[in-house]
Amino acid sequence: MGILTLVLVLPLVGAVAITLLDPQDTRSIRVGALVASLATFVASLVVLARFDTTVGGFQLQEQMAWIPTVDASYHVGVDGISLVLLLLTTFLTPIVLIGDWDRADRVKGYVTSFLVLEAAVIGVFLSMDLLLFYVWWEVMLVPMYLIIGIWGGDNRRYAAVKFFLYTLLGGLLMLVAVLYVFSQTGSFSYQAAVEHGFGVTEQLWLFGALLVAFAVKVPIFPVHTWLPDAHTEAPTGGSVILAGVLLKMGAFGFLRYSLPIMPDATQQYALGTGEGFFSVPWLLILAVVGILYGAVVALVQKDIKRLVAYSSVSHMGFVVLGVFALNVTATSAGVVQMINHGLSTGALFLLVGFIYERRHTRQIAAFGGLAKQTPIYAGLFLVVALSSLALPGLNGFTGEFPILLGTFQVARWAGVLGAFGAVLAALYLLWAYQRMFHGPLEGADNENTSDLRWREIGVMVPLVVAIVAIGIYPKPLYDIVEPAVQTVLEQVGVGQVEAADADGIRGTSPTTVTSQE
Amino acid sequence: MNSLLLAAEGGGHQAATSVLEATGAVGAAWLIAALPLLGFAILILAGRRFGEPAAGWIANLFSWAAFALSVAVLLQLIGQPAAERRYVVDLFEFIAVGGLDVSWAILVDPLTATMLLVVTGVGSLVHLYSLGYMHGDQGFARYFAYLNLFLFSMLVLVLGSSLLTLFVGWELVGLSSYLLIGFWFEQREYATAAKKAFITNRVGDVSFMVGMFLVFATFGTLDFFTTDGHGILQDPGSVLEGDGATALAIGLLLLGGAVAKSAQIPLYVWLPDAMAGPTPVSALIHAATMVTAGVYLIARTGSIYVLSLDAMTVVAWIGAATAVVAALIAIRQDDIKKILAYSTVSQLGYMFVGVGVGAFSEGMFHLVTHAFFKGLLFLAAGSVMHALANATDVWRMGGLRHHMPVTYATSAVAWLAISGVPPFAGFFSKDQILTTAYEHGFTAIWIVGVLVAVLTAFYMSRWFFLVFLGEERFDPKTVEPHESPATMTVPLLVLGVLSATGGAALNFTHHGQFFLWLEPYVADASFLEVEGLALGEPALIGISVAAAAVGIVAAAALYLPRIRYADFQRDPIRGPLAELMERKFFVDELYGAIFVKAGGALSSGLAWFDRRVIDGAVNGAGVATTVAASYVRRLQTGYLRSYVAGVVVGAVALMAAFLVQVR
Amino acid sequence: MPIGYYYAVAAILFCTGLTGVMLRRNAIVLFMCVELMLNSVNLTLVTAARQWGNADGHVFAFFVIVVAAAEVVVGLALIVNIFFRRGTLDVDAPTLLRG
Repeated sequence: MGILTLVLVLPLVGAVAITLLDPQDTRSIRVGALVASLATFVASLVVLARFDTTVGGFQLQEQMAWIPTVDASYHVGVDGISLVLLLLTTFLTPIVLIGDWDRADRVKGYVTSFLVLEAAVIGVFLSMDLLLFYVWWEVMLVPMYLIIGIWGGDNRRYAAVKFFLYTLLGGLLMLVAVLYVFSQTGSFSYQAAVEHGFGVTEQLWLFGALLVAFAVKVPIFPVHTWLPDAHTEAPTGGSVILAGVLLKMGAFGFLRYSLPIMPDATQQYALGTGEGFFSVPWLLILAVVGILYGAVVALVQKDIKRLVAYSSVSHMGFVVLGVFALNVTATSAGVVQMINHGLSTGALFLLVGFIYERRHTRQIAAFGGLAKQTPIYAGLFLVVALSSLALPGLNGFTGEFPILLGTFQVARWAGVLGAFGAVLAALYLLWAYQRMFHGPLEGADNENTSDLRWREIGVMVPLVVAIVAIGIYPKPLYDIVEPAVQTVLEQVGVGQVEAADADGIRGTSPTTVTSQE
Repeated sequence: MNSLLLAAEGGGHQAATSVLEATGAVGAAWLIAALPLLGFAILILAGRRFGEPAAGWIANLFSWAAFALSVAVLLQLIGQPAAERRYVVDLFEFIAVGGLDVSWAILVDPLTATMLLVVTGVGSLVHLYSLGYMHGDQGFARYFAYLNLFLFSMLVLVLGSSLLTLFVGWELVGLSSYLLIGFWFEQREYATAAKKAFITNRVGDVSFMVGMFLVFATFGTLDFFTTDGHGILQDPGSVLEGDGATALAIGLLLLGGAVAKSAQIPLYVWLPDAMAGPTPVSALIHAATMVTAGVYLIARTGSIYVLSLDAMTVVAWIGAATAVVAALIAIRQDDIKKILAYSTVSQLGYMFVGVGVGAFSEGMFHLVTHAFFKGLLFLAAGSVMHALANATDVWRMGGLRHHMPVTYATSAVAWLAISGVPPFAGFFSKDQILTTAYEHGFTAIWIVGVLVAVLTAFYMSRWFFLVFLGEERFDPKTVEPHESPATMTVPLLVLGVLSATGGAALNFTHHGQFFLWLEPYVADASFLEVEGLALGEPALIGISVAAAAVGIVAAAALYLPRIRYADFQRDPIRGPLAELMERKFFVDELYGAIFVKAGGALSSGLAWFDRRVIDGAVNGAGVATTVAASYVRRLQTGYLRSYVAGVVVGAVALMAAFLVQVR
Repeated sequence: MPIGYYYAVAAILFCTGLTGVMLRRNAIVLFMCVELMLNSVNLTLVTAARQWGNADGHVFAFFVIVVAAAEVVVGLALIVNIFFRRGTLDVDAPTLLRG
């Protein structure tokens, strides 16, 4: 068994093993789940160690026949983009399990759902077969539906059904697209699809179908409204994984499938290089709208979790902007920003969860002056909020800045408008911070709020360390991501335009095509 | 670690002719920033364990160590030939992706060294002063942690060798400023002031960032100086090739960042509110160092500004307008710190005038002297507040000269310095800016500058008279004024000496040693010089001195006779204009209406749109399905025979259709 | 005997069964009527097989018989269960599926 299969199977093994345990023995269940997730994390580190960062392409591939009659196979592989997302997934899962350690109701189902979810997400990231990808994509829905629907808040049924229907609708269109690709290539192989060379009209339709599936997941404005509900109702761990990992699947889908399989359509949708309807850079527009819209709507949210949810809409707008700027700088930074968003928004949701456990409310107005009462909590919240608003020195900046800088080279208006997202992020986060933590400490509830316990601090430490480390030295991340992005953009046919180094640009117009290094 | 020595611009534009290992203090210059960071890390993690005063001394230790190292750097640079004083020391890579390649690298040249000394020097004095000022505060350790964080941030800004690393420091000083303004966050207004400062600066940062995007699009790098001579400041003219529009755009975008950080029109509104922070913080951050970052930025990127006269003119006029407006507002303020805050805004306007008219080294010179006397004024104000149980209303002061002789004497020096009385420091720097403005053909700006000099002398005299001279107007029953402890008076004395002699010692004549020290390392604007002007330098100096005299005499005539009465508590200047000045020209209200109200309405409107329209459409689809189902479901009667009947009808219909088709 | 007779008998059987299914309410009777219809189909199948000299029809008939036997097992079990639970065999009584 190869290492990738091991990574994929470990959480499933853990899940199966846990189902054999006595439901009352919650301690063993929790420990078992934690062990399984940590083992998965270690295995993913082995993947990292074996990964060669100097080349693009897929590595550590494993292939086995699955349904030979339709040429569908169990085919997994990893490139720089999926590697960092894999690491994010396996990093966040144990954190979530520890973060929700005290959850008492139906622990067995809860942790099993998370392990199955982890496996499904890993499957999505590693698959190199369209059918396999589709299966994992849909499998992922079930545990997430259960997590929201069973362990969620008061309005959980509505949120769970909304989440399910939205994603399912996108999934069905994706199935149609996958089947069409199969009908043309006679295979579900990813490689065959990339090499097939679809006609432009075919590409436009296929891209549209996949766009719905992926846009819902990201989410891109205006199909984002499931997100605030799902986040608000989901339990803390669910929110963390949802924001940290599941949202990334959409952007990942674009990079892995839409761009290489439909290069012409990508350019038309993203940059408006086509005619008529496609002469407008729709995706850049939607990304910018998402950035500003999510931020403005976040400003007036009264529920802190909803505020963070809308901030996700804004931040994922940056990711979409980066991906579809189709520029090595911006697109690589878009991938890095996925990691950054996963870390900082995941951390924010954990922190919101901590306060919710203490106060059983998420209304910002219910808090006030907490910095005095809970200084550690306030300090951690500030660090994470600053990371989220892209303060240089913390991780958010190392993603957002190159995204905007790269985008500016392609579409100046998009870079400029996107930059305003930074002001708005400062506005809604600091305003919320002020209302929760500053001002006089009033009311018995606030006076009795206890500061973080060691377990909670322990959960936050790895996240904060990652936030600071990536903020100061993002180079290792970029080293992994850039070759893969380079490969993808070459497949789109724009790779060489953007690789222009300082010498290439100097003294000439910035759009000049120059050779790659 | 890579390091290299770059030739000065003065030696033609063949930069980086030689690559030399940076040795000694320059090689270790990164420690200047790293030391306060270490202090911050220690204090934020374990500050409470140390408690008072150990935490304060730890912070002082790191701060003074940074100062000592800065002095060593200065001495080493002075020891070098004038054309070999620029080093770039590469530490490690920051972001390298696509064409973007930025390192954590530090730039050491005379401009940097000047800023290093100001930042660590005044910074260390403020650290020392804070030991006394913050005595007994609950957040003593936290305060010093933040102070060290600020020092680190400001040093990153100053040492940054590219626009991006400068920007990192730029944002981090914003953060430290946020933390320190909101240090007493239990007070709602203080927390609000902190947030306002951060957000206003963020607005400027957008402009700065877009400026960087444009710089990158134009130059393909963000580094100031590179080994291959392609840094953005190494002969930008050859890249832009007379493209004045791009130079103008870059200049204005960077200026957008600078006006926010340096509190110029239209983004100056945060600085007066920032006085909510502890007074030493106001002295360090909001007078001597952080707010001058905008001036430093423009001086640093001057070689781009000189490519567009329009950009320079805009800088100069923004500075001039700010100087006038802030000076006018300062005349009618009653808060001991607010007067100084508007004065700072006004003096920063002067510095903008300086760099705007091409007087880069003169602008920097004013930055230095201003750090001395304005830092001193704030520290003196802190000393006064310390003595009067945190009173801030100048109408409740007076007669303090007897109670606090050191504070009084040093304040007098600072008052004369800022008013522009020779031979105190402010006279030299202010006069040299005005002289250069005149000589570079900015006559209107020069006239405004002289006017502002009158106003400055006037409102500072008013401040000084009301606080220290005349009858005691505070309530002696409740407060007992006393001189501050030595930790606070020593910094006052040091800054007093610098304010008195710093100007003459550094740059006695217009082209004195400070000028020669900086000149090769700032942009060359000598092409602006105009021949055959009506007034010579002696006449200009005379006018400057006269302006100071007019302001002081007017204030003396107006206030000195009145402050002899203990019930003098109302300003004699009245009328609609005075009212307007007192209300700060209603700018805060205007911004409140535009951004807070309109922005809030937009925000609520969009939230409604999201909930009702977008989500409404989604839920509407759900409702439509449900309604349709409520009709369709009636087909399911639950009676077996009706289903069978349906099957039969269907079968018969199929058969009929089949038969018809066969025919 | 003309082949049409066989078809006629099958048709009569089928219609009898169908009428029973549609009109009767007792589940056992209903069940027997369904069996009647199945066997009419069987008759049709073997008749046609004989007519065209093709064994497929016979094979189908066997299939139907086997399936019908299985169906009887499940069906009778259901009916017994329904009777025990509800005490009636009236098929109109259980209406849980009514929309």
